[in-house]
Amino acid sequence: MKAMKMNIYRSILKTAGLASVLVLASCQDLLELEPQNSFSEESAFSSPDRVALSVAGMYDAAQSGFYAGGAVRGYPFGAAHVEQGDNRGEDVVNTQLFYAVTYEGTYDPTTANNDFMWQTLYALINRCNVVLQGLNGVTPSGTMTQPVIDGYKGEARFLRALAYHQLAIHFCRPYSDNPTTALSGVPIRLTAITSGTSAEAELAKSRNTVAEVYTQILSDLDYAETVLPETRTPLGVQISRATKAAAVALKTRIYLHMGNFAMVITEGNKLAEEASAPFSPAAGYGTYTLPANPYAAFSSAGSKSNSESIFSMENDAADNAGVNGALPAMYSTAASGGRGLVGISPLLWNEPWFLTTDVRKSATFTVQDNPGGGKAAMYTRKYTDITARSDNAPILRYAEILLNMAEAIQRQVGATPDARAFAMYNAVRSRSVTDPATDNIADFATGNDLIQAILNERRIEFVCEGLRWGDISRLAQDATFNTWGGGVPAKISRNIANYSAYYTNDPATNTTILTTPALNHAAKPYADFRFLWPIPFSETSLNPVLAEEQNPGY
Amino acid sequence: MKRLLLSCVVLAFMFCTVQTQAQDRTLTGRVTSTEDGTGLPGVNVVLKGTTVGTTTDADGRYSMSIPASGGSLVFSFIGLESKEVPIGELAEVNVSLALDVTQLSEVVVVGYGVQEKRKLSSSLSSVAGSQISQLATQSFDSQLAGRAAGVQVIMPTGIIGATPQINIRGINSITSGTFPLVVVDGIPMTTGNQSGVTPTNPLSSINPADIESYEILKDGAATAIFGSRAASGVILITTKNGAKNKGKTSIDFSASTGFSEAVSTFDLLNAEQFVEVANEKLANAGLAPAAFMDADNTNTDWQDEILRRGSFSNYNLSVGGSSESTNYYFSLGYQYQEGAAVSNAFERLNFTSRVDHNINKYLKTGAKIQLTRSKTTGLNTGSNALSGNLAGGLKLFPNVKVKDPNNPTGYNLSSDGQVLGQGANTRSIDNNYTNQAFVLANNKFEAEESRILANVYADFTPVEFLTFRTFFGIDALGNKDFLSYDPRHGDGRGSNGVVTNSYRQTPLWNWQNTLSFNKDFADHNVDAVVGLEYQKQTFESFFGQGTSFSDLFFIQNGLISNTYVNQFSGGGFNQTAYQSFFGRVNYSFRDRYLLGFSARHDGLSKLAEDVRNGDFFGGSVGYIISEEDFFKNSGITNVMNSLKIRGSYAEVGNQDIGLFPYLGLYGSARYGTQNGIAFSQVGNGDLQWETSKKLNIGADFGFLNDKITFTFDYFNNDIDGNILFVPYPPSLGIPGNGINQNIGKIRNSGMEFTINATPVNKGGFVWNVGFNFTTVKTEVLETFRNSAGAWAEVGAGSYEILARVGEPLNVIYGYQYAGVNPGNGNPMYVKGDGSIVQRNVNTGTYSFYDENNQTDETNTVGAALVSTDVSAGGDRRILGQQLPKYYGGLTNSFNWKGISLEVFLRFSGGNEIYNQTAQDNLLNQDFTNGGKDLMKSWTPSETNTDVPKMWINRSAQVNQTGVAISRFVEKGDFVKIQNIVLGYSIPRSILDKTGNFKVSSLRVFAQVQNAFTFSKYTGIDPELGAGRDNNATPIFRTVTFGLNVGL
Repeated sequence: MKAMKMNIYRSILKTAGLASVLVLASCQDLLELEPQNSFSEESAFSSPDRVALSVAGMYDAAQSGFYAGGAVRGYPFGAAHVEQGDNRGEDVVNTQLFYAVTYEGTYDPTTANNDFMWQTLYALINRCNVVLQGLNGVTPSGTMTQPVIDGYKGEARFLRALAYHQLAIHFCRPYSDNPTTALSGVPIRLTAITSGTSAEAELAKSRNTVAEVYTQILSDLDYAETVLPETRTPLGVQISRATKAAAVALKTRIYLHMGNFAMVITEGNKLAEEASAPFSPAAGYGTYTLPANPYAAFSSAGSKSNSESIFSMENDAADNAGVNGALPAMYSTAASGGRGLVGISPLLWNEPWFLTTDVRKSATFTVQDNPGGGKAAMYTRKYTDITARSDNAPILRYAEILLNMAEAIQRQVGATPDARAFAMYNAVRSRSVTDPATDNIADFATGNDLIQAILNERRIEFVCEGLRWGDISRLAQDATFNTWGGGVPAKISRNIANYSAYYTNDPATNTTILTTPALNHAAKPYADFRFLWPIPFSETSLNPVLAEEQNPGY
Repeated sequence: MKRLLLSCVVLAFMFCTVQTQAQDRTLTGRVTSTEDGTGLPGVNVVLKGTTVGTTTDADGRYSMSIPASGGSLVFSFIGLESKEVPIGELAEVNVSLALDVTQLSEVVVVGYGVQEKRKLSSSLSSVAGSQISQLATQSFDSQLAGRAAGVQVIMPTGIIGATPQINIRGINSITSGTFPLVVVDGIPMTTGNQSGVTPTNPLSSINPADIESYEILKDGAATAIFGSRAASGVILITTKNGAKNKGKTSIDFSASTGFSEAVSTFDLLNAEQFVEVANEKLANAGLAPAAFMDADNTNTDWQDEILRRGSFSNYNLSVGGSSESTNYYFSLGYQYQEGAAVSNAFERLNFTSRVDHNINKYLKTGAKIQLTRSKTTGLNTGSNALSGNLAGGLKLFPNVKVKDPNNPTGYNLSSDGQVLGQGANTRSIDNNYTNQAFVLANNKFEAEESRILANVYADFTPVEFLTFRTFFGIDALGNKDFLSYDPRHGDGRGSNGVVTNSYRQTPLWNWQNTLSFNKDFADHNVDAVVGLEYQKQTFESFFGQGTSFSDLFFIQNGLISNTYVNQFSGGGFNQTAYQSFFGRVNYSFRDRYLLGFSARHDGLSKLAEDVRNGDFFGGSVGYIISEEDFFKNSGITNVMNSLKIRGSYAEVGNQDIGLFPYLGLYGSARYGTQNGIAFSQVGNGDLQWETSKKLNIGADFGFLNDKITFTFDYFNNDIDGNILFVPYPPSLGIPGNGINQNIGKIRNSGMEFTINATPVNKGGFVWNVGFNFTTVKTEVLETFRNSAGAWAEVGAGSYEILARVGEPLNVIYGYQYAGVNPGNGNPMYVKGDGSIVQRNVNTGTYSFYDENNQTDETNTVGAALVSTDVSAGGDRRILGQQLPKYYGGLTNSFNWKGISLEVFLRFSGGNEIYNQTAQDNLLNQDFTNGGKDLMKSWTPSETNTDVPKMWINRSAQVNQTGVAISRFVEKGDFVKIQNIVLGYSIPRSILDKTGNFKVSSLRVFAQVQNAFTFSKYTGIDPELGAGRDNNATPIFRTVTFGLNVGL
């Protein structure tokens, strides 16, 4: 009996021994796992290579920000700035439901377009701020000298400026409308928010004034100009990453919005210093030209390799705005495999100054969709890679600088048409069309005639590039040059089943469209609250400060 | 297995003495099993009213001396129904004993062991594998619906491969994972969809025919031993082994075949109605008619193209047996089924091999390998997709043909191939909807799953009350996807064809070492287990994609090199691991006072180093009152023969919280052709698992010698520290606009009732009833504070709020509909202050409604609906709750002379459903087809309606699309006759004539699943979408015929 008990105890001991061996053999490091798909926060700026990756990552936020449910639709600058900027204006026709909210101006604080433009622009701004903070902690080394670090900072501040301006033109009244009005701008955020604690400090901030926003934009761009490189190689990267010229070019646009024509000229002279064509930048600002072929900056390949594009958002087959966002998908005909959602409006097509002989009406630039699948509207051919959607999204090109300059010079000069202003205007126009009405400076009786021609030229030249709403906004308070009394223009109805009858090259057709209620969406006056986008509900629901500072009417 | 255990119990308590009296003669006989006719050893045979008796031998035979005449014999055996037989002058009495269903689950599987059901003081439900094994089902989990109290299973779509929602005692987290932990023979299984192209349910890799039993652990005490993984309950699955076929080999074969079809379909406009309705939409907007009948008067019901009569077939073969030292089980299964949605199918082949062997009296070892290959074929079911089977299919023109011989594709397409051909209509279909017939015939969505579930173990039993076990298991799950979009039309057109091949695997290994102890000390019994567990799982995936194909030939089965212009690839890799210690002690005194305690220490790789270890404890007490003498001696035993009360409390956790939710991360951020990284997640080093505090109080009653059993439980689960992605204003620009934080509290409380009864058991006719009923209330107690200091809402969307303090989870949230303005057909709404506004169906402008001047729309100031809450001066309010307040099931089974009929009902109710299918699809205002309800739209001559005036392209204005309105909120109550099973077992007397080729059992059956649904819900099925029905594919009814043969 005793022996048996001993046996039992021995067995228990053996078992316990075996068990403890197994315990001790356990993997001590089993729980020491690190993520393999991402870096930890601490190591993101730990080497020159990673710093470079972080800088490129800012552009990602600009090119392919998020959309509802995690989709990518090219917000804010990979495509959406073009689509929203165009559809808020009258020069395109939205043929389907897709952009109806923007096109018809039925947005409210919950509609996705304004919501995600707001969200992705601020996401871009914080990403820039995070990188700026990270760069501040980097010590210069062999491959990463202080100028290289400063150049990275310049890229961050360039993108931040671009983002604030996009916010300003959609969510704020134009600069010309009392820019110092309290709360007229958007909140300016300049510090990196990487934790709950750093978030708290920013939460108390009110909207700044429009003037403060523009001051900040210019401060960023002035800095960027001093530190950004003049050129980059290869050419594709020069177009897709910020350069000195890009900072200056954006400044010409900003000053134009501010009505500060003298500064447009001061800045513009850096990029087009000559008194007459051909124009080229001053020393230190790269080698941009206006190519003889107006199509040089377009098509998937052209958009990545031309002398005219100063800054574009890079897209490629693997990283683009997707079938529900990419410009070639949305702006190409159904017949060619695109979605055929946004065409060129008959209202622009039939303008007397958009001549039938204009290259920009030719088969190189435009194509009509088939009735059937599509609605037989005219579509642009600026974006061509319908299947892979790799076309870059244009932001700044040399033609805009020339037209910005031309307008500023002429406005500075006043009554008489100015030779340099005309030369710049004519450089853009004459490469596309021979027009007895505009070919010579003598064709313009007054300075205002020339300004009007320049503004018309912008509509033709930049159609389907998203600049229209910016111009409508900045001209809204301009008694002479505003359209539709400064409000949101009337547009051709998106409910028409077949548009072919309305591309007549006859201005009388426009009159018919605009006087037949079933054929148009009515204009809205400048005072209408829908001239501005609302601060989205996603913001006001979480931010009591901004909830109190919503744009009136929403 | 169970019977073996039971015989041991019986043998232990066998009568020790046999009285010697004056005896006159010898009576012999044999006791057999009603179930399979085999001899039953160890059955007590007693002469009634005496102590004269004996037990049967190994073959079920007995022999005993009895008085010359008179009296009767009582045959009894635990787990079987007792039988009393008058002897008379007989010399031989043979009886067969049937299983006593009320005592079937004498021993139940619990975490890391088994336990006598009688001594349970925790709450769990057992479901016998046989209840599900013969059903026509892809996966067992969907069949658990209605089977057990406290277990809610919702099948939100009719697509085969979709994983049902399983909520054990409510939804146990606000936003983290809520799927129960599923443990198969000790291995925690990977669950959840593995495919990127069509839903797959990894639980379908287990053949229901191989499953012996399901145990669903519900309360804290039962689940605490699973620690941080237990918050949503645990489902333990025990697969079959050969042990029950003592000394022989049994071969079972089953086959069934049948068909499936949609339970119901939509009432769509036919061609002529479409022409009328579409032209009225246009006319109301001042536009000319555009819809016309074609020369052939074509009338197409597109539902005929997207739904079908599918097929079902299932075959299982198993061989099981045991010898003195070894038992074995092998099985082979094959299933093929086609869903009622065109293109949807599932095919599975599986193979199981299991061997257990006693090396000597100290050592035992065993291994099991289960291999499964399955293939799920899917389709585009996107609820907003242009090519979604219902989203698009229901909108297609009914007055055009499906096919067009003149089109190169053979289908009716527009000349450019972009959209459905418009036939005689003069306007193209709005919004670019595609020809569904083409899409379904040419696009491919396939997921092929391979799985190995295997384990080996060794038991060392130095003394009979102590066993050390080391157990090692793997779950190697891999899934290969194939997606192909035809370039000619539909989703592939924009890319000139797309092919994606991807592979994902999630191998898991698990190593457990346990020490079990079970010993009686006089009146005391101690049953304990302690153990260690390690687990690691890897998640890895990659894909390759090509677009712009050279030829259709190359997009059929996989990526073919150099047949496409653009190529893409991607992938990811991550790991997770656990390291745990656990233990459980169950103590009972005099078989009536029960005490249980369990604990687990879990270390998780998912959390920051200094907070990653946590302890979870649970305890329970039970009192079997009916074991007390005062109970036994009272007269109550004539009515109530058993009574147990019990209570438990535990704290468990939920670690289904993502892989590295606490870390600040920089993820990939590619910019065009340039590589980049960017801040992608804000860190929170304090993050912990969610904690679930579970309280359970219950009682078990047995009446009339267990003819009726009744179980009652009250539960209360407080879930603290929910991990919420606390939102920050988007203008701060932080990644995802939020930070993970342990915040928020919810409570699930409710009651469960289970009744099992045998109302009739007479003359061979047996009627059994099983009924369960559960009430559950899920209440949000705390979320996070918004910046104004109030409780913030979590997951506030356009249709529902996931969590609002003081409300249940998942409430429908929107505007109150006030019907149609009879004067002009505008829809009307009730504002927060009670005033009525109307919305112009054309312009969308809101104006106050004036009953005395109905057509006046000028009073617009302040009329627009405001999206904030009524309590905040806005106009949105709670319109209903999506989670049922009660649910349950009722089984009636009838057996008579081998004929069996089972009717299984389940029900659920107290909830509301948002019928978004009606709002977005059936009542759409575009130039597309819709439902018949459009014909009820307001017209100047038909003003008494609640369907507003139609207006082309004004769905948002007419139906308020994009937000919820009470017009589309409906009651979700339903009763379903889930299954009707009719079977016939060929009597033994006939089977015995099969000679050498001995068939021991033969049963034929016919069954209908999803037979009938009774509900006032106007959509297809009140369970679709689980509260928001948005173009979900209809549930289908399956009719099957089958047979089981046992050799």
